[in-house]
Amino acid sequence: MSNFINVISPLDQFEVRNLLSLDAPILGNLSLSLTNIGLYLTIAGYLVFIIGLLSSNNNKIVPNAWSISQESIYATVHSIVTGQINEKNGQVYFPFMYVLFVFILVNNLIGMVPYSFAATSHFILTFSLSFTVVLGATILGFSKHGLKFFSLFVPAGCPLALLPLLVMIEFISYLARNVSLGLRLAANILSGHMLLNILSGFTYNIMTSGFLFFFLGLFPLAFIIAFSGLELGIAFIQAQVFVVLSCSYIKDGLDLH
Amino acid sequence: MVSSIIPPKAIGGAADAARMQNVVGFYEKLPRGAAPAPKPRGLIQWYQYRYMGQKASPMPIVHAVGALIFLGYAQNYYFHLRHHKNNAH
Repeated sequence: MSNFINVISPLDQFEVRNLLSLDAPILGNLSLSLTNIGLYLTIAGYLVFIIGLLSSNNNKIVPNAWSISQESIYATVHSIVTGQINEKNGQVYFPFMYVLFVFILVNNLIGMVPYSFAATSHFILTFSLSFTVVLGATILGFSKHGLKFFSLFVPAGCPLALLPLLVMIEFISYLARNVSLGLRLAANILSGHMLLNILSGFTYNIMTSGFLFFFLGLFPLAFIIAFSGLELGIAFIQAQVFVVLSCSYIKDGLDLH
Repeated sequence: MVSSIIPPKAIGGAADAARMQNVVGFYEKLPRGAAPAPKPRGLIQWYQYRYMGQKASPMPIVHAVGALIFLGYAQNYYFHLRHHKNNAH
């Protein structure tokens, strides 16, 4: 029985642990704590800040490799925002989208570091982001169009008889955006990390079970390394997808199709 | 009519001589040659000068990853790994 208790779950790596906590019997049992997710989000914030600060190349016009990296992230997000929303009106949303992109990207990449913690694999974080973005886009739509915002749920050229059904479908799909946006990001990161964890557990067992098996285990090890490269790509792609979809939701609120 | 075009009155005109001297003086006082390289002061500026300046290198990424591995391993050791020192599974 004791053997089974020690089996590591592939979900162990996502466990949120208390690192520091302050419990006091005041203000309704105040409990302030620093968890590992909080720690890694803070580290990500400082990392972005420091890299941004140090890669300025002393404000010279000709960039070095570090400032080119910053400028290319800027250009990428800028082209997403102006392409998705609007060449002119989309500029207002650029700072938000840039922060969103860099935040998700850096947290995805920090999650890829061995022994580290993937904050973006937690639904609480990604749902907070996605619900905020979609709710914000909805408030934007209402403030810009008033009650005409509901025309978003009416597809153009729709027959009157089908209208109630289509409005229902459009409404549900609009609500589903909240979930799908956050679910996509967290599920991708979660599944990638779990797969790597399970495969490396298997490979470790293969490679440690004998001399011949050590060399046999090099094949799955090569696969794991290749898959880590794929995960690195997913870290970038998911950050980009999140920003593209956030832009398209904001555009829906602005232009109503 | 032609005299107003040739020669241009602005060149060598007595009224503009002082102003021209000002312009020449301004450019004379400007520093010449290549701009001096900024001297790093403090640890952060030294780090920027060493790794992210003219000779940009990818080492800051290695440093960040190294620091994250150290931090992550310390946490994993404290919460989990030390309990499995003598009974691997």
